[in-house]
Amino acid sequence: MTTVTDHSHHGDAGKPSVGHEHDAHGGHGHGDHPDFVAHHFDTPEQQFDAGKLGIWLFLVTEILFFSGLFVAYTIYRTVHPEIFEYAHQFLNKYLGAINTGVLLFSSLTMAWGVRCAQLGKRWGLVNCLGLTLFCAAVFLGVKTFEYAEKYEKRLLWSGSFVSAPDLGKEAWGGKPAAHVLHVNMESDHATLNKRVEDDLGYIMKLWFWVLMLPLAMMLVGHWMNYRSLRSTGIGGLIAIIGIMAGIQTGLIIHHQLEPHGSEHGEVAHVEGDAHADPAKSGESDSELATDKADHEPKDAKTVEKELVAGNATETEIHQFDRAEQIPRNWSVFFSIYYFMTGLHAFHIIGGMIAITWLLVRAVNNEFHSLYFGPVDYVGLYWHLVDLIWIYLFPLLYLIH
Amino acid sequence: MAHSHHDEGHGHGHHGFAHVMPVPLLLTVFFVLLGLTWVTTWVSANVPLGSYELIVSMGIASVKAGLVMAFFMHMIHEKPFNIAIVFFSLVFVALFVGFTLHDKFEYKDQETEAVYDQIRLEQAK
Repeated sequence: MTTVTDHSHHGDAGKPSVGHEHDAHGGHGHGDHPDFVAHHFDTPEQQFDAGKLGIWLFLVTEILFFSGLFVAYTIYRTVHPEIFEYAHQFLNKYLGAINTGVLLFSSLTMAWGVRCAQLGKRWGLVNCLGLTLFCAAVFLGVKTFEYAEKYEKRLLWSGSFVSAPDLGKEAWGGKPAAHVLHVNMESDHATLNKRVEDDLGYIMKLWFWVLMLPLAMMLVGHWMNYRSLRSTGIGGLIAIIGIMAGIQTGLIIHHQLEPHGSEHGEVAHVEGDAHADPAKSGESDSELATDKADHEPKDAKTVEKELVAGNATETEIHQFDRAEQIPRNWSVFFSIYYFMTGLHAFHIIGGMIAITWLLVRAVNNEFHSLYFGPVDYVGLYWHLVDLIWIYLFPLLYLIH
Repeated sequence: MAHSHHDEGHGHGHHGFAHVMPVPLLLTVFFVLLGLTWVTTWVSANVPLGSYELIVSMGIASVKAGLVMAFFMHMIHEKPFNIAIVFFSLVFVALFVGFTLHDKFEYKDQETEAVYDQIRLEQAK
């Protein structure tokens, strides 16, 4: 944040913080019609209220648009609760909770930014917007970790859902998803982590080189005394550093949880559960199956033991799946997961672009007590994105 | 201030038409939201609630959503018309989800029967 303040000070260090000069300037030109009020509005307040109605209408379309996905979720969860009960284990609820916290904090800084804009506190607003942008990027970084990890474990949407034994082979070989993960993954556990880290290392390297773009924008903007370009560069810098920080956060939490054997990733998680409590995890599921129909094969227990020990044959694994230990078509969960979180992440990206736009304008000192509408509108949008995540988090990560 | 007439003209106090949220209020809301996030995660990990789990987690999420809307989104100061617009959109969301659930549970018995049939078929193979 200090970067923003420091760099931007070069432009107009001595300028007063409140934007009433706009007011004054406009006032001289057009009587009672300042510059910041579009000519078709009578007063700043009318302009603000019109914009506010507009953003609320947009948010309503967003709510209804997302509600379609929530309905899809409702249908699949009520029709196939077993898929959700089984598949949610492959999400790390602590990463989800941390991302919730990050997003809530970004909502706080956004609300605080609106306050700063209303009070005409220029640098307060710049700092708040920078922090919001950074948190948004951290959220995406953690999501990058989660997606990368799921990709390596082939936990993808229906149609791309590939069974774990393909791990040594081509990723997009189109192998049918007969079963998902069999518990015999002990030997591949280290390989999996290595692959995830390699992927993320590659992504980090990519972002590091992309970092050169905003850096160049910043320097060129500074050199040519083009403040908006410089501010945009700073925004990009904050965003990319945030994403990298988020990826690192994901990795750190993943490793922190690993020794405890409870929540460390997909395949490992199943292993952990099976090792820690093989009887319990198996039993509850088999009981479920038994309740559904009295067709529980007598040797399910034996097969399960073999699976845990890594001695099961392919046929036995299929038998295991068929005993409804592993629900069929559970990739549906991941279709919903990717669609909902992906669309949400898309909205985060949109919000980040809007916040960068605000950042540029805030550095240019365009907002004050009579003209803070854009900050307020983007703020409302940002809070809505937060609201959607508030519901997505328990619906996807906290199922039991 | 040369243009204080804006402020006076609209009679909404010192900041024109802006409703400024006090910092302590924003911070309180934020920490309550964080606390609720911790509660919902902790409950999910440690308290077996069975079928009530969804109700509890959705309840907590709705309290959080209410706090965000009331304070962060300034809805406590919002114009009644804007509140009505948002309210009715939520009514429609409730209708969509409600009808979906209602329709689903309408056929519950038949579906269970169909699942049993399927299982019997597979067993017969």
